[in-house]
Amino acid sequence: MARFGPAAVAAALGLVVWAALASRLPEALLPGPAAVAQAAWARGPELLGAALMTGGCALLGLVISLLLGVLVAVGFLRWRALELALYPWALLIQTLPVVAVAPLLVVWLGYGRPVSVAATVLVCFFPLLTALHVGLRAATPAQVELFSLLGAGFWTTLLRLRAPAALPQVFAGLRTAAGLCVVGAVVGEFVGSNGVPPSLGSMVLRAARSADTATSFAAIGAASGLAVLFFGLVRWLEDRAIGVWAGRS
Amino acid sequence: MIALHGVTFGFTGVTPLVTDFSFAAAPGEVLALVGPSGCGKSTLLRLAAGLLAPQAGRVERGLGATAMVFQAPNLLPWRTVAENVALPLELGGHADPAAVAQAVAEVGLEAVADRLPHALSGGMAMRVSLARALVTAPSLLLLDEPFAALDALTRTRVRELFQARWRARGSTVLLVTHDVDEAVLLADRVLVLGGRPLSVVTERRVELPRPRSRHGASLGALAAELEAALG
Repeated sequence: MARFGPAAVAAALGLVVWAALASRLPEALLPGPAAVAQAAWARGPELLGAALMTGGCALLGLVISLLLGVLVAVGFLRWRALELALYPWALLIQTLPVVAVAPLLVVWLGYGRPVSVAATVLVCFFPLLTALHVGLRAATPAQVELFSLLGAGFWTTLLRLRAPAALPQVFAGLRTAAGLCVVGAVVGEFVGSNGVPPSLGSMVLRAARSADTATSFAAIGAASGLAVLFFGLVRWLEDRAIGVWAGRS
Repeated sequence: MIALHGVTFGFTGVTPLVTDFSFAAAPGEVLALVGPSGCGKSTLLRLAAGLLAPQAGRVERGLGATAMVFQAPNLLPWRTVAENVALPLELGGHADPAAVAQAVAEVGLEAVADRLPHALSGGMAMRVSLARALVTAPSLLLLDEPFAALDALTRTRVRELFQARWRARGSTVLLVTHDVDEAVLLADRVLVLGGRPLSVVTERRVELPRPRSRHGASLGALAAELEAALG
């Protein structure tokens, strides 16, 4: 309770300030918390379906990014020349503005979920690759020497030493990506979703176009909730996987 | 046994650490390599272990397993004490829980066999490291200043453990240390090293009865003599 107390107080204060501001402005400009809650309640089933759609795309994009990251990071570790040739270009992916690339994704992939998943991969891949790249080198030189002395080859050392030693870094990367994946999915939906089936991105756009700001806020809140949920899921997994030996329990 | 024959080794761009360097330790012998910090003793040990390849000359190791104890315990933090000790057997493809239990018991850590390394003291962690090195009953044991990071009391206990139990196993032991007293306490023969490229400044056979005490007069006199040679 002591851990969550300050955050709960800050949230309550934020709600009060928000309500006070909203009471002085037109609802179309800034709806109050009650209006947003009402809109969320009224559109509950649609909002839930949209959150499932966006969450599914975000999660799929996150998993694809992680798998790709593992593949590339292991390749970099195995072949130094590959790392020298491709790592600078991996950085380029991070510099790409996903909002600007998303319309191209529609051209290449058509409307629908693939755009949302691809946009998620674009924003999540680099943080995960960086975490894996650093993590796979986190074992100490003496630990690597020990494995070498014991006759372990590249793959044994990777699986029995480097992979477990990388987990703290990988989970740090996953925590960052857990928030980013929802951003990527929603941006993908802004340009790649025609609203059928509904997604959080398409709901935000449609509601904003009809000046239904309360529904937009509800959809944005649901997107934030998804990101918090994913972050919490990663923390839960992290505590169970490495919490004890990494000194976090 | 272990022998280096005319070995030359250096890192790129600096004066070679060793040039045409030779020494040998007979089967079952405890040979101490003593020298100031940074002189290249640990590099010699890595050459002996096969972790570094000589640029000239050759390294000859006898049959059987080689084990090494590093300056730090070097345990894997996600594995328990018993799992850390079992690592060499697992990687060798022949798990032997009985041998692991015996090695853990030999260092007096049965009560903490299921603990993770973060819950161990420095002395306990080093004992786990020693047990891991000895679980395969190696014919060659390489010790890279394994007692240097321990507090005085723990260091004395672990040295006594070394003298009492493991010396009797018959492994050839190469001990790298900068502590002359430690070398005289544990070794059958001491090589005092120095200079760049590295050379043997002096060599002494330690013919004192075992178990030895750090406070024995003969030991102190020999240590003082070697200390003087070390400069």
